[in-house]
Amino acid sequence: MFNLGSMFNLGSSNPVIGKAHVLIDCNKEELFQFIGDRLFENYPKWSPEVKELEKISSGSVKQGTEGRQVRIDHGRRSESKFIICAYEPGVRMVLIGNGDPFRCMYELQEINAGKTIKLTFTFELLEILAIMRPFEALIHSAIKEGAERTVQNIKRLVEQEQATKTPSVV
Amino acid sequence: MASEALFIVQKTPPVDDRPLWDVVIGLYGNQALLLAHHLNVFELLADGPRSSSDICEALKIRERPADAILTTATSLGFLSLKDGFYALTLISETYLLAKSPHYFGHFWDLIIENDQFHSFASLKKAILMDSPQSYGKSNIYHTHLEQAEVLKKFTTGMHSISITGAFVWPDAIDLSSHRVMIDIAGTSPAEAIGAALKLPNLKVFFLDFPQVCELAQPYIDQYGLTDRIETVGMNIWCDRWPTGDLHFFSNIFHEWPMEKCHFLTAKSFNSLESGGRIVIHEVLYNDEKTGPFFPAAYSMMMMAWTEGRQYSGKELATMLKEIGFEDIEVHKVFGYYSIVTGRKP
Repeated sequence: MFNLGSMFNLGSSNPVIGKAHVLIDCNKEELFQFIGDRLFENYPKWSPEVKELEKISSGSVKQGTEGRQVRIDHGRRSESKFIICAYEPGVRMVLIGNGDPFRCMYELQEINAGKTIKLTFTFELLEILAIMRPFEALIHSAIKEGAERTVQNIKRLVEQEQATKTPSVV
Repeated sequence: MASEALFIVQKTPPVDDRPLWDVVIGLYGNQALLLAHHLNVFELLADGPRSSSDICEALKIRERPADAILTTATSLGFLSLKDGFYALTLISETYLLAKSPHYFGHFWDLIIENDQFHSFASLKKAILMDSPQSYGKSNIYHTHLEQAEVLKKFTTGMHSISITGAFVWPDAIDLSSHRVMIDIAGTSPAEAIGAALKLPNLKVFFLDFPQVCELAQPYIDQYGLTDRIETVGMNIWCDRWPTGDLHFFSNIFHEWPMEKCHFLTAKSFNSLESGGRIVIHEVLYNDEKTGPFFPAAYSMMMMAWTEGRQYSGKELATMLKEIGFEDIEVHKVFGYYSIVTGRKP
């Protein structure tokens, strides 16, 4: 009822969240197919830090699908598992770490009568290891930059893909 | 035009004006109860009924103000009047005597001592700026000791309003299979105490800032639960939570905007064992968000003090579902409070 942390300056209540959005000229079905249905094909493309990626559950991508990834972020290798905890075609997809403290959200919103999609990406680091605490400010900034890079990469990739599909008018 | 208005005003309107009076008179009438508490009217009557003149003499106030306070308290059911003698009622005996285990008075003290936060000017500022008026209070305390004393009043106030309901919610659902409860940022360990006493096999970790944990420990010791409730000083937003299979949040989500509630819920989901349960203990709006008045007014209190607001059961249940919880249920528990709960698959 009383947020004592903020009232008495006992500690920060700012979670480590990186959030960015971008406008992409495409329809939501195409974009969701790129991000969601083809997640295991495309994720390393928009996030080049992902060096290995595999689906460890059976069937097509859906809520409950599990994956494993190996990443190299700033020279540091990490392996983690995740589960898709929300999968709403054309609307959003949410991945949460399975034993690892992170969550990623991809949310789609139609604008301009459906011709443009606002893609919002959010990355939440649910905890910071004690040994990383001195670098908290750097982590905040890296995650913010990472979110911005993610949406820009997705935009570039989707628009490139669309350009190759569209027959040229000569 | 003027004659038309003159004609209309002479007609009896389709509804009377009591709701408008209630708004104004409530501001004055409710203060009478806080004054009665502050002046120790209820403690004075603990030994038995007294006449108005007796009360005037004991409180050193005159008959007119005594009459105003005592009549208001009687009209609201906090006192009874029989043959010229005022007496406690069940509600004042239960909640307004310091010796009662259900004592609510510390919370009223807190509201009285911080009356600037419910002034019109303060609430207007909170509404116009969308900003709590209570943040950064520590700047006004000159010493660490002074700050610690005020912090203690807040934890005492929270304990005062939590301890009664703390023994009710654990009975609302079957928690017998759970072994380790994590009480997240409870401010007071009341809920941890209630759960530990109701569920004898439960071990509880109470997470809060180290300064709050220090204030929580005497309550835990007082109930003989030193071995079963362990305080863990931490920042819940960035530190790792201990492993547990029951996560409990009481009066936490209403401190934060939905985005931060999502973060805490996702952190809970991520940290819980499979089969683990989240319990959110809050005052809820109805699902249509048309009321009731209590959560609506509670949101105004949150405007003054925090970044949050009250939520409906539907809003919290949707959040749990979006994050991946299953078997989501909403239960009424004690007084105005409900729980929203879900299970991690």
